[in-house]
Amino acid sequence: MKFLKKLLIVSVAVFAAPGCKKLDIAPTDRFSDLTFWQVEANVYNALYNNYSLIYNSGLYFDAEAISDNAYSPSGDLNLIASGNATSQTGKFAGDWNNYYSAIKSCNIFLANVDKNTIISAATKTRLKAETRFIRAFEHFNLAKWYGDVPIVDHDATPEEAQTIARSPKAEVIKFVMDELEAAANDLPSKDAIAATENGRITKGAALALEARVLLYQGDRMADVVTVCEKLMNNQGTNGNYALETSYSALFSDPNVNKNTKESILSLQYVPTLRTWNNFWDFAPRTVGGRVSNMAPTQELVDDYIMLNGKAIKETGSGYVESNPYVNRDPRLTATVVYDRYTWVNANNSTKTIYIKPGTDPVQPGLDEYNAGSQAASATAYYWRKYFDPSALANFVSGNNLHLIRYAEILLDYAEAKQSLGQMDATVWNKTIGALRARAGFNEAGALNYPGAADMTNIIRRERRVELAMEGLRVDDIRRWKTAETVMNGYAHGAKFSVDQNTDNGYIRTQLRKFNPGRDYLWAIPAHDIDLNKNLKQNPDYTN
Amino acid sequence: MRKTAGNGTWDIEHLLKKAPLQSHNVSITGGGETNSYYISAGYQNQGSNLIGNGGTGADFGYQKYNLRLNQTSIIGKFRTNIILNYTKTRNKSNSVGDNNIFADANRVPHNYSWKDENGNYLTNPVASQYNEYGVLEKGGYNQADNDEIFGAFNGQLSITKDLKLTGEFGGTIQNNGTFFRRTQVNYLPAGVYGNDLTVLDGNSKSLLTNTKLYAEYNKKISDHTFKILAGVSSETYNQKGFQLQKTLTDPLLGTPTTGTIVDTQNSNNSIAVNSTSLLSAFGRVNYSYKDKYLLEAMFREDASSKFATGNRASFFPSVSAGWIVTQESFMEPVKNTLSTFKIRASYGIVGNQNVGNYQYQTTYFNYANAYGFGNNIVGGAGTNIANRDITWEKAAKLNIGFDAGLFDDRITATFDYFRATTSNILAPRADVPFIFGAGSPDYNVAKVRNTGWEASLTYNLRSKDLTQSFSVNIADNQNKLLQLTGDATQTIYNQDVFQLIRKVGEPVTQYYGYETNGFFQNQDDINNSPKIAGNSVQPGDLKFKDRNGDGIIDEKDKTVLGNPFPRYTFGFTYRASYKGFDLSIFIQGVGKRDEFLRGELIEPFHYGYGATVYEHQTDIWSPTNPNARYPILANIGSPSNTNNWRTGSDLYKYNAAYARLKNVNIGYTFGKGVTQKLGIQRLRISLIGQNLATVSKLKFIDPETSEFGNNLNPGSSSNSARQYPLPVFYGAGLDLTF
Repeated sequence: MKFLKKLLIVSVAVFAAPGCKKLDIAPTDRFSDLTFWQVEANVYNALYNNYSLIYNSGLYFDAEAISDNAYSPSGDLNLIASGNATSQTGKFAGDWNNYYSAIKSCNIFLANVDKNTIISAATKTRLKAETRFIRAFEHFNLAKWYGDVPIVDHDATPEEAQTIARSPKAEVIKFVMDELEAAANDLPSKDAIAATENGRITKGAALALEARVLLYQGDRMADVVTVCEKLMNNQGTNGNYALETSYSALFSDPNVNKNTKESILSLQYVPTLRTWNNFWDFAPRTVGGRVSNMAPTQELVDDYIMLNGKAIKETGSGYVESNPYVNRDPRLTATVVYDRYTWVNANNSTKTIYIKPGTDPVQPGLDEYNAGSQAASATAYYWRKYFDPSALANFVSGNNLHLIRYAEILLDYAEAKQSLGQMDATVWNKTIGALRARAGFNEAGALNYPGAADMTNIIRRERRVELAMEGLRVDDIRRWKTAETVMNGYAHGAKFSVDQNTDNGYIRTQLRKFNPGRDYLWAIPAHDIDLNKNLKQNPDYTN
Repeated sequence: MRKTAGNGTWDIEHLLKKAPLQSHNVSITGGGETNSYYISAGYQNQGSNLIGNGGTGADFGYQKYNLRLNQTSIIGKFRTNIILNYTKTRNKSNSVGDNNIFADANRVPHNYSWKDENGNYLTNPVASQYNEYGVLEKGGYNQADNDEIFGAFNGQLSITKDLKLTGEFGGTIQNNGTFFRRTQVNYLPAGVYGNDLTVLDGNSKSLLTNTKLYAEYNKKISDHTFKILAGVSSETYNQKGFQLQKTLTDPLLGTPTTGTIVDTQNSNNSIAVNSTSLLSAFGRVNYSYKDKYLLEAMFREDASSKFATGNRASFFPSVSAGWIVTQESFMEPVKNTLSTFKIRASYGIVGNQNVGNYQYQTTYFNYANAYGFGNNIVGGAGTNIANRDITWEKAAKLNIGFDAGLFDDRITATFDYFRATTSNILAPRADVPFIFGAGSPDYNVAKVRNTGWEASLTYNLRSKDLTQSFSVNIADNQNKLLQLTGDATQTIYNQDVFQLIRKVGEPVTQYYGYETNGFFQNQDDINNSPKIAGNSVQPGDLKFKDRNGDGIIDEKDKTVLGNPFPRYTFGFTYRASYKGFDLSIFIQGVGKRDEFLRGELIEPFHYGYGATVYEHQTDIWSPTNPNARYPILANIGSPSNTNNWRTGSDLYKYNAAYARLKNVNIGYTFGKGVTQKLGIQRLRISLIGQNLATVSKLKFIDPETSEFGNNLNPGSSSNSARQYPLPVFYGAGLDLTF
């Protein structure tokens, strides 16, 4: 009894005590505004978060599927490629959102990095320049797809996002160029950084992106030449870049892929830890592919020239339609898997890929073309480029995806020189000639300057095959305004159609339409048009 | 698919089995005037309806053990009560998730088999990677082991006859453990599951403590009765967890061996670290006059650690009043007919602090594997954008009703009307463009109103041996979105193949898309009807309504297609007892509900992953079946398939109204003559049946399932009809009281 009385008194005291329990609770497992930026490692982590948002493997390969290089049966890619997209198309909203999310992350970084008092001013200048590069790259991509877009150059509030208007494309491009110019001044050359920093944004990357931005404008060719020449002729300052010896190794050999002098900027991956596995849906199914979610078109295959330098349709090319894959540009075999292709496995053993219906003696029905199949390729082609022999199961790869290669600079240069009427044997030898020699051509007909030939088309074809599957083709056909031709009508597959009388027997894979009054720009997502009254829709899209 | 058509075993039935359910409870009460106790113990075991055990240990299923102690002592002016409750649960489930199992079982034609005659697990061209039979039997398991101890001590001191002081102290300790293991299963001719040999061990501990101190004063002065209560309370919660995951473990033991890798991304020391605190003051006044007029007023003032200083505390008052009309003298003349009649009304404001813990503070989190340089991985840091201004949600609730009894309460009726308006609802803003570049944190932005009514009527019939009661109840509830965010009028959410809309002035979440308008019957019909731009169609494809009449089907023709909220929920209970026998029957249902369903049970050859057509999908258009339920079959990716299945229309809409015989219970209680000889006070045996029959137009899935949780989150994944129909349960019961 006495014990209970005591217990009660004690308990009343216990009740009274917690009355002043604190309500200001700071989380113990994460940083707050007050503490975060002071820590050097955090600043770097915030920078790397910006890097992680720069681009991704989905955007990279999707771009191919909405060009005339490839076909994808997949939802929005199918819709966009066939000309049926609307302002509600998910990819339009998703990509827009992706780019502005990366911009947000960059702006938060730029607004806060100076709170750190430990990192030296010089280092902070470099970190800021890298971030400004990323922010400029996102704005460039936005302008490329959507035309006029809002420039977001600071950490905007929700209210600002509701009222900001689209800046004319020219202003966006000016912003991008100014930012890249500033970044190029502040960034180190790739030769001045340690190998452990391989993949960081450098002076060369800023210049290379400048070249791309200028080239895409169409009317800045002299500037393209100037910038390209900085990279080609002033390598002591801007970084030593050169073509890699082997074309296929760039995309497949992990060592070359990561360390090549040809890489100006790549999307960085690390085996097992940061990976991509889109290739699972690109590879033939007999070597482990899941479903063919993107397949090369006949139109791409046809643009690979013969070893003698002639296009397949040219007289004297030696092209035989019934045996079409011999004596072709070696980059065809490095890029596309065709019927009876010799697939080299990771362990260097080989396997023949049978695509012609009814020919596979071992695993019929997996890779063979079949009009009704929802898993085999709809074009009767698969991909080889970017096959990673060191990948884990299901093609989980740690290889990098090249965003800007030195080859692109050479192609930019050739195109600009041609556009200015300055193409000659010297320029040819430094550009197209060099790329073909590296690709494995050895006949003079392919390597030597062809003189007054159809040079514009030769350069465009070279650009297409050199850069196939790197996501740039769609940009090219849109800036050349050839999309209205090449994205109109059927995308074809190999000559395995059930109906050998239509289109000469080539598979009609997808009927495409391109409305030149509308489709050169993507729709501003309806979501943002609804919420920001100052945003006006692009022509011919209904809100 | 028609069962007789196939000759294999690949279907869901072969993955299911009958599962026993046991439930046992024992309780003992005892004590005297100043000291009483109650002890109870329970055990429940519910086997899973899925076959297998994952390769080792007990079959899949759920077990629960609980033990409860309750002791009350009265020592003079002190009264103490101690409660101790311990609950242990274990839930063992498969390693791949039920959704995958149902999807894989349902999408493969029945002519394939799970196993060959030698017991090998098979794969096939449709399911070329996994065989879920093998996963269930050999592929490992996921086991949750949860322990909970609840203890409460309260002491009450009667200072005077009318004044009491009460202190309560309680706490709940939770320890939640997870053990997950994936083991390798090989398939023929190809495919393998679980070769990563993952083992995960995780644990989370939490402690919730409550302290409460309050005084009560009760006084009766002639016809006036007063009760006054005032007090303070404090609640704190702390949680912390960890987990470790390794891959390539020993195939037999799951322990580290040569080549085992620690999965650094999924191994962490401090996860789910949470801490919250709530301080409150509260009071209540009750007044009644002659037990005829009842009045109650209450208030609470709550301060929560989830909000910043200044937004932290909020005041929540409420009042209620009742009038027992039949206590009035003027009602005496009708008292034989109207035996009870009470009118009541209440109005109050309730708060809700349902947000993440540190949302008002901008926080940063470091994470692993953000990017790489020179083939070396680096981490990243993300920002949780904050809104410092968040504060309590407030719901104003009005309730008006009556209780009536007729003919000496042989007939009783109740009716309630309610209206609840919740404002300042914490939700991400719906008016932030993507240009902002990040998800909106929660703001106090939305407003929703619920209105409804509930009526019940019971008729009790008593004769010498037979007692019966009939009871019906019916209720309706309608919600309406009053405000989304500021002036924003609607938000559309893409949910897989169809869309959801939140629109001011209408039910909170609705299905949205094209309204179908029959089928294109022939080429002429195609030429002369509005179509989706750029998509070619063939006879047998769906036509959509051109709502704005502009000759083309586009976003502007989309409209609200229904909502998932049940209307007119009803129940019927019949009880009867005759001598020792008793019977109860309970029927329950929903009068009106729309439901959108997708997946392989809806779309034939679903999305290219499935290769099945079920019998309920066979009402397919043909020239001779022009008014079919489903469009003509077409390949995935084809314009027809895109038109019919990828554009989001009411093709996916089903009527989910139902009535269900939920429970039947027949019992017999033995007479005292029999039981006393056995030394037993009461002995009852019973037979129980549950979910015995369902009437619904929706036959291939349980019509009660919904994709929406309580929060009506439009981000929830759409309903893929991947649950088995509600199991029918038969059982027997035994009640013994000594």
